[in-house]
Amino acid sequence: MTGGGLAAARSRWRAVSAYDVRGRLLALPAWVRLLLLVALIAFVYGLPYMTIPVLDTPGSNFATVLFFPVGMYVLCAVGLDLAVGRAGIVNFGFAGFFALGAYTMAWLATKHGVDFYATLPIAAVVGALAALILGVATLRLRGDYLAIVTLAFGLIVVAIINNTSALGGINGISGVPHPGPLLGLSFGTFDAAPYDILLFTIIILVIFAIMRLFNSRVGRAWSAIRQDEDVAELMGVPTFRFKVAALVLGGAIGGLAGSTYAAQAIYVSPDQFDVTLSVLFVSAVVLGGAGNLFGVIVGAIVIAYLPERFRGFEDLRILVFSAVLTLMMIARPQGLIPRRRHGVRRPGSRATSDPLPLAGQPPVSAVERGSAMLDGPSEPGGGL
Amino acid sequence: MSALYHQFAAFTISGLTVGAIYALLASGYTIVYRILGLFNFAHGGVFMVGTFIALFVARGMNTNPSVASSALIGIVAMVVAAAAATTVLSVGLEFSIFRPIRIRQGGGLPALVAGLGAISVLQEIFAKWQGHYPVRVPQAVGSSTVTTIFHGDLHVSQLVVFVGAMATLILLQRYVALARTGRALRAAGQDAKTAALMGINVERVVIVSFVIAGLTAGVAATLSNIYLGSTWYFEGFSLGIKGFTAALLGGMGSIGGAIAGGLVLGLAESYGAAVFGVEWQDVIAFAALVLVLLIRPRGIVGERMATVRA
Repeated sequence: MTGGGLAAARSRWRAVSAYDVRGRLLALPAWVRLLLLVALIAFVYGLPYMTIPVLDTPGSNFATVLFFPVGMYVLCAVGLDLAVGRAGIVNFGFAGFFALGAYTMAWLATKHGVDFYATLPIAAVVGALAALILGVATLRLRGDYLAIVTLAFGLIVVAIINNTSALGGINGISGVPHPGPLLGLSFGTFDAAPYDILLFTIIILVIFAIMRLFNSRVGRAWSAIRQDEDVAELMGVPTFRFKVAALVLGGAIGGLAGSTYAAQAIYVSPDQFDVTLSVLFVSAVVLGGAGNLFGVIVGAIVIAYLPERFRGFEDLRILVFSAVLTLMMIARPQGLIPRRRHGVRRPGSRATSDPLPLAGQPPVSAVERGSAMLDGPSEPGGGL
Repeated sequence: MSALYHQFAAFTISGLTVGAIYALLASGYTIVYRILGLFNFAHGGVFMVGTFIALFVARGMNTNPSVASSALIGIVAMVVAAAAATTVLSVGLEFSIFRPIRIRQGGGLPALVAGLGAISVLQEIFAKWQGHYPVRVPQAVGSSTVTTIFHGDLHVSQLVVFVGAMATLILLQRYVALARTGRALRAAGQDAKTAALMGINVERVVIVSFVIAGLTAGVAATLSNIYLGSTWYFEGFSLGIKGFTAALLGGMGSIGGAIAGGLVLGLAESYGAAVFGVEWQDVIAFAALVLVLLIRPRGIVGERMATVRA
């Protein structure tokens, strides 16, 4: 599919509806797509160094906002979506992984002088281990019960940190050292731009790895579990193991995000990782469209960026933000950019005059209800 | 440990009192869940609004807590006003948020997030209006001791809260079990489609469930004001999450489960605080939830839901 087939490419472009952005993108020749991708990545990397009047955040430094909350929310939402969107586990404790990562970094760096780059993988492992314990202990529970147990997990992590004097208790740990210089980037206290570059690189690598994973046996297993766990199990998919895997991978990403956060923020304390943060992560995933990587990223950016953009309103911003979130859920319950293939309900298939869901469907599978009931056979080539 | 040993009765009494409030809150979550399979996170916010309405009434009435008749009139007025407000709010949320999402077939997760958005909106409104710090509630009942059980003092407020909550819950349980509407409620909870085919107006039943949730939230709000003596904008989230935990602990969907879950959670917290210290109270509460669910995945009493669920 090189430039030679321009006429063919044009006819493919025409064949796709203008509303089907993804389809239109796929209809482009490969080199154009690559060019667009490079341009997008260049734009993203350039963002911390630019001042764009409309995008800029009055009241807070734009480069800092890009690091936290925007970049962090994107990374965490991508990690969380592995559980929520792929394996169908609603995880309300993701901030727990984030906190563990941040505290791993803070504790190892301040008490034992371990280098930032050495701590990154350790923090990821800590997050993964926590997720493994959480998963093995609780994944036998049904979806909606599980959601609350994960919420409890997040609360327990924060409460334990609060009550552990070795971790600074409610006072937290301050004086977390910055990362050493890397590839010409030097990490200081005031300029957040180098941290943005570091974080964006991590995000891009994670997204790349995840996309590779989605196209593999693991990805197909998750897809099968999400559509119908029982059928997947009957077809020989070890559903429990794959669900734990989704949670563990998400935990590792959360740990990674947390440790990077701690290195920039210098100071970590338990109240930075309360339930609200977990709830906002879930909101980002659901708002963007669980199970759609691009949607989840957009959702995270919206959730993180909007409150910063409207800092002018100060105390009203959370109120406005919550109201907007609620209205968005009413207007577009399937998310801003719904899951493709199985998640999107066809317009004609809406059940009329029956606003009631089948009672007894747990929320997690209720999210999948559209896919389970209304869509046709499972995806082609889904054999595992 | 010795604190628990020496004051076992006192810890039991306070655990049961708090547990009764948890149980009332749990019943509000459970009744909506039974019909819709919905985790109504906005319920905590509804409860919080109720506590403030009860607070305003208490301020306005200025009753004399040491005179029984005056105190009783005060309590009744608070319950009526708070329950009226919470019921209107609860049903209002159903009409404005949950029903539109159901009509769009949004499923449980968007409804859950919308509920979280709603509780956040309510919290922000009251944080702005009433401040970010706990507000003291005028004393509604006397602080005298009714009786002493095994060296544990039983205060009037504890007796009022426990009896009030249990009476409400037993009334509710009897209503669901015996009344015609209660039967419709159970039928719709089992199978909404079949219930509709049998001539039950399921949408009306849904509204009834939100009305019940609102009423119990109003009673719970008054009782929690009486017992805790203060409220603030975050009351709905902090107590709501406990009520929720209690509902899960007992088994979603059943009033009996809400009672059992609430009391067990209250006792576990109280005993746990006595042994490990108050700062570990929340950890103990949630650890208790995880432990119980590991042994009995559908809660202590078991879930009331006839539909076979994946």
